[in-house]
Amino acid sequence: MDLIAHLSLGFMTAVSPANLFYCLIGAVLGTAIGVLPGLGPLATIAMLLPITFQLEPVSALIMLSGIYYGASYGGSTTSILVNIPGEVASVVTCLDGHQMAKQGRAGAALAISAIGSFVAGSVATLIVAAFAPVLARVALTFGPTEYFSLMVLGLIASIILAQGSILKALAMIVLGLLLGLVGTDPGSGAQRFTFGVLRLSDGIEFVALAMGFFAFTDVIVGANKNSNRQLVTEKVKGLWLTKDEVKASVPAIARGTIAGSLLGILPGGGGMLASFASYMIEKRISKHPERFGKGAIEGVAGPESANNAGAQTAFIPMLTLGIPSNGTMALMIGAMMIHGIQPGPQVMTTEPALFWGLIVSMWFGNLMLLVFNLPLISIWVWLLRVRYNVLFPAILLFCCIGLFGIKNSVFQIYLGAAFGVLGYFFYRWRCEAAPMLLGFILGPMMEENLRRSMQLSHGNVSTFFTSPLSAAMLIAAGALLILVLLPAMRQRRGEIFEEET
Amino acid sequence: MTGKHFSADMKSGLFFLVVGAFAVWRGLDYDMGTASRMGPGYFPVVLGGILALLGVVIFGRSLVASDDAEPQEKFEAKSLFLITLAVVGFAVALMKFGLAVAVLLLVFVASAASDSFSLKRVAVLTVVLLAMCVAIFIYGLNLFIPLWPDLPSWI
Repeated sequence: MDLIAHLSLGFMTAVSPANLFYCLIGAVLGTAIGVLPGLGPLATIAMLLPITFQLEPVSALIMLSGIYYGASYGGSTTSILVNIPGEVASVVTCLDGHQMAKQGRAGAALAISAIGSFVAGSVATLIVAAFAPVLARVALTFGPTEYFSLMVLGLIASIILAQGSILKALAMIVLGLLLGLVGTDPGSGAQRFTFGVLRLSDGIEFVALAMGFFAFTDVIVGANKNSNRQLVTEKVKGLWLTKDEVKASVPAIARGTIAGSLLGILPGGGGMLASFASYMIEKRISKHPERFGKGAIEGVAGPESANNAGAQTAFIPMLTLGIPSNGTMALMIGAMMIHGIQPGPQVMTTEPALFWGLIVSMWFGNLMLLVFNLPLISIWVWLLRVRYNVLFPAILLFCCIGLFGIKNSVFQIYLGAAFGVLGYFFYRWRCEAAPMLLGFILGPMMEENLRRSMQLSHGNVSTFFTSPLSAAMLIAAGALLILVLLPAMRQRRGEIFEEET
Repeated sequence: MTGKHFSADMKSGLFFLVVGAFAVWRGLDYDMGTASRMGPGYFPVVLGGILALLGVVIFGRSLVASDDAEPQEKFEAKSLFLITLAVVGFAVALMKFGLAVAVLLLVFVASAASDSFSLKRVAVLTVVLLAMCVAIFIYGLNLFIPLWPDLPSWI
């Protein structure tokens, strides 16, 4: 019963003309930018964050989530039509989607990807609505000790699936935590790491950090690589699916939705893991696994559904615990804080309209994408042809003005430029910036909770282990860490051994 | 560009070590407090210590094991310099000469980083982008941005 009451409250919020409008703008803008070359969802959201500053918090979050799933729709379109994944989550879509396009079935591939995403998105919305309150209720019983341990667990878990070196991802998290502490210490009022720069006393501006490391760094990496994108088809036609294609897709969508919804909740999960898992499942259970990679429609339907379901259920830990499971969710939390909302389990009770409105708006956004995406395909195809050397000055410009607009000061532009340079070195060193963003968001919260738990326990560290919940989470974090480090160590040892023999 | 002796792991390990050590050094200047009443220095020193330790481990491992190679592509010194210059130049010009000059500067300098530079394309792009900025940011979002040099500047 509660569920229905909640959803109707969300429905009332989401159907207000303004919110519907921002949902539409977000979804279309997200798709358009997702289709454009060289802009991933993280850079897109970072770039468009300043535009949402003047909106109501609900509208801002609705628009940002619209941008988020819109960008993933756009990413699928580029995967299918040009064989370049717009984002990591649509890497698998390239495999069979692009082959379908080569065989003249681009329309069908796009259609099934839109339908699959919509079905998965609808189911995932219901899952979020059903499970978020349960989790939030549990989290509300947490004291600072449990919260601190939860953040440790969340941060450790988020790097397990990170690409590349675990140690470097860990170091990036700690670096992010440190960057999060820059500014005035809320506990004592002391200035930390500000070096006498007055503008830093409010802390490092989150938008400057995100734009620097994602948008500016991407431009530096890509500016000189003007890849000419080869479109498969000039005109996309034949959106209708054949009977066989429908028959093959329906179970794939169902399986993808389930796998994606489950994997999306995990820290570090989200869309990417979900789409890879779904592709594996489809290939494994198919009677004709040899068709995969040659244009099997299940290979598009499953991962695309999983991707979208996972992208949506990733909101669960973000909304209920205030803990981001991936870089995009870290940006969403940053956006909430900019609007003066402290993320955490209390959001559901203090801001019910925002909480439920956001959830219901995701369903609307997916519906809009299904309805508009296919008719607008000629616009997307046109956008696909925009050349990067025209695009990147525009990206820089919009970021700069956005940074200026935050506080009507050019200081944020300088800060963003500095992060862009640092980001390029991290790119060279294969240090992923996303874990740093997670740390940056959680840094102040972690310190606050650590401080409070130590105060309550009179300085006794054992408090983290005498609370059973906290102990369980810390042990889980430790076990995870050992688990991911061990095989790597073994592999390294193996390599050395091989070299010696 | 980069020597064979310095791998990505080595450089990043050193970087983390230096930043961590710096955080500890600066953090010790702040009040440490006690464990039950943590001062502003406590958490930064702990984090700095962990970061420095991770840096040492990453660096150390790079000495004994084959590790991540840097990306095969060359170091984009030109892009790094020009893109950063374009952004910083924009910020300086925005205050001194207004948006129009700043946009012109940004588009020209940034475009020079691209593999193909065409004066005509850059000129058209400048005009189009400037028009978009004025429409979206000045009229649409009411941002307080000086457009021309003769307007008083705000800092």
